[in-house]
Amino acid sequence: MSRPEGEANQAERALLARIAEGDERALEDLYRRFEPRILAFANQRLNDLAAASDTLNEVMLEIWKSASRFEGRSSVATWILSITRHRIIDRLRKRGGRVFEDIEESNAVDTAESAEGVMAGVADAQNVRVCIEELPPTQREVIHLAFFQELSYVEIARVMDCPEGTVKTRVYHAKRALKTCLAGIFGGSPAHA
Amino acid sequence: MPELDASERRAIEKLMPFHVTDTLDPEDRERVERALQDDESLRAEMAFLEALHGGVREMTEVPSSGELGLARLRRSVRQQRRRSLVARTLRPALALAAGLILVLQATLLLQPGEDAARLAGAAVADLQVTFTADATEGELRELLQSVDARIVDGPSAAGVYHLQLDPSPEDEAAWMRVLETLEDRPDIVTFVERE
Repeated sequence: MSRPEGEANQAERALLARIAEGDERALEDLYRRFEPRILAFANQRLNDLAAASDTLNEVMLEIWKSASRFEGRSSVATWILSITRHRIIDRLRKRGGRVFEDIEESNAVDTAESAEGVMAGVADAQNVRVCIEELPPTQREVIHLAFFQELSYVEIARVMDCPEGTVKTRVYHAKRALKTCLAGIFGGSPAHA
Repeated sequence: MPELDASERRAIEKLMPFHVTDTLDPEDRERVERALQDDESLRAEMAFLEALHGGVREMTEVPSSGELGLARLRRSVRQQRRRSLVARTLRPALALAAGLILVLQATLLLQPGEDAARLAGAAVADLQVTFTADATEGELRELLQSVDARIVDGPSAAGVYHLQLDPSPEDEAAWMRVLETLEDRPDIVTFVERE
């Protein structure tokens, strides 16, 4: 499945073509388009705005050097977010921490949350933040790519380098874990762990 | 519409987050919308996902680094250009050096009485440059003097001048300073490369 190529993607492809020819102004235009998305992606995983800014610079510089290698098999956004993800992984490895782990199925507790509690909880972005931070990194990442970056599951599979079915399953489990957490905040049943 | 079995319901639930962001293909979108029509609990689930979508977007916004970030990128690109330039210009220089060594060795073997030092000293350190059409003589003089360069040949038919540096840069850092000084004047210099 893929979305029809939109005007935005066509414009971004045109920018990449100009960057491949050494056009710095095109690089700046692309920077302005993607800065919020790259920063947000890096920051949600690194939890460090300075490191996210460094990652943004590295990603843009890599685009500058390798724009000619963009083959057009994915959208420009998918390509750029894949580069970003690799840079994030490099940084996490340098930190010596966990990079990515398998999905923690235990998060997907099969419960009947209070619908009112869940809806009250999700209405407050702060509650959403608290509950998302409790997710395992892989689930946090997939929620970010689906709901903030608004990528299709096909695109997310490309960025995360995993099967499409895995993406859907990860979002499904993450959503269930979030419902449990949000219901817990509002005293629903059961409380989140 | 008959009630969904557990397997179909789970499949629909897995597609619903992508319905919220409007990233499903038409077939999957229709499949989700058909299921939503007759299932109140799925509609409640959709309301939750829409609220979650809004919450994630709200909590994820990060402040832009704005012009500072852009200025940093410009610096990085310039550094990258310089590194590429040096790498590009070092390659022929290294090839030339290797060639000279071979010539020197052959010469020493064939003509042991020849003054080898004179041969080794034959390599001349200089640059090729082209200037903008509207650069004035005064601007050129000032720029060339700032890097201790003088025009020893040119212009060619393509407008290329050959510069000799006196004294010749002693190391790579000195070369970089010369190249940076010339590159930093795009209003005067349109191209610069080591010979």
